[in-house]
Amino acid sequence: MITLLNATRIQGGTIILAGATTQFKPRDRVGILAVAGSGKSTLARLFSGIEPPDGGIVQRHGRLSWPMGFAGAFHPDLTAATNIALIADMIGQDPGRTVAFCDQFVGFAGLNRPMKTFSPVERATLAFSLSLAVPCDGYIADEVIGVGDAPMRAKCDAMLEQRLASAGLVFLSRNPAQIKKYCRSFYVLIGGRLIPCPDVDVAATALKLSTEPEGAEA
Amino acid sequence: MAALSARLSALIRRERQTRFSGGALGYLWAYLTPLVWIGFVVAMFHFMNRATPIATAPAMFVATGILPYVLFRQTITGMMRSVIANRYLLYFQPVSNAEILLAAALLELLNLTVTATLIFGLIAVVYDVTLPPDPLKVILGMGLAWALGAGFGRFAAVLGQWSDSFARAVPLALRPVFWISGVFYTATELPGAAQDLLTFSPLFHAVELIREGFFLGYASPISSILYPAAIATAFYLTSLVMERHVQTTRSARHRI
Repeated sequence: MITLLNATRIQGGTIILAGATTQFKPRDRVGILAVAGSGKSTLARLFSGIEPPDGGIVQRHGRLSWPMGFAGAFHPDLTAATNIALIADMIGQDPGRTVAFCDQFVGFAGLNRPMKTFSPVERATLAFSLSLAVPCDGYIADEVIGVGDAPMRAKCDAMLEQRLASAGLVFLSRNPAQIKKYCRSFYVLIGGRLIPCPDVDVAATALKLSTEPEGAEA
Repeated sequence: MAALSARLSALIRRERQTRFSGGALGYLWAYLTPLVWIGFVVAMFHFMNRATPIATAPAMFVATGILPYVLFRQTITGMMRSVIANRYLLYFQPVSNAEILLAAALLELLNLTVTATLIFGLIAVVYDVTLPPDPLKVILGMGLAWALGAGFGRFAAVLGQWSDSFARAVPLALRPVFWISGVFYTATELPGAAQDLLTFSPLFHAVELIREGFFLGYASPISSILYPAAIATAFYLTSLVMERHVQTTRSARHRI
């Protein structure tokens, strides 16, 4: 799905990725455990192809999603349906079918009203439904892998599961339990290094040890 | 190719629908602005008792100067605004900065084509002015005005991504363009020294080309096709180099 060859990403003097070389295999479900502020969102944009690395190569195979649930491009004055139809056109999807999918998925009435009338939850749900509406070869999730109340989250999980039958996932999170739930391969991000781990508990332990002050005993 | 035109079309439609959203008159502003400008300059002519240098209705003479100026100006403003306002659309790969900029420039061209057709038509009907004997030259002049706007606009938009001061300075720096581009005078009525100086004003050439096409028998000493085309190309090429620099050094001031 994604191949990193000596990929380096530096943001504002902080090394987020220091010459990482690894491969996320097609249809694998990769979990990357990282602490807050370690550059998860930057990595997600790197994997999504939104920005290039500072050094090395990020090879992306097939269609990879934008960070799931991204809602930053909805224009407040346009209706939800228009917003979605325009985005669908930009990414080469059928606008009618995409709007219909989102309309059916979100379950609340009326995508034909301006985006600014949406509550934050509705907005997030709509954005997530748009991510699920687009068939991809790989989905990139940055902390957000489901939205809304329990029934809606279950719906998100079910749809994601359906998509993942023929696609991979890269999930960046600081929550080991979440990563355990969704992923099969594990990495931990420590000091710009992407370290593979046999399971999420090892990843969590490694992360814990790395963040404790020198000489401190657990 | 089909995918690219679908993306451009979506970008243009989105920009079109959001540009004037919220206001009561909405998209009418795109057409009203140049009309008000023309009215203003015609009124100025009237009060200053200035006769048009070419025998035609004052409104028509002014329109041949104002419309290319507005096209030039709005293309620049449109591109500078669009690249910042639409930066989050970059999440939807393969949408790129270059496509956002191109869409903004094309939208202005589309808008002004409609506006110019309406305004020229309206003035021709109201003042009973004959239609241009050489319409291709009019189109060429308008095309050059647009190319200048798109070339410089791309340059300004990329530099504006990098520097806030630059973005704010552009409108100030462009103010004199209105006065040195023959909006309300022609090259033939200028004294020799002024003529020599204003030969360097690229938009002036576009304006005079339009007049040569519009008014039978009018020939201007400042009507090169090559000069404004070269200036537009130079700004365009410079913007490509700078865009690469802004991207590799990540020096855009708005984060995505």
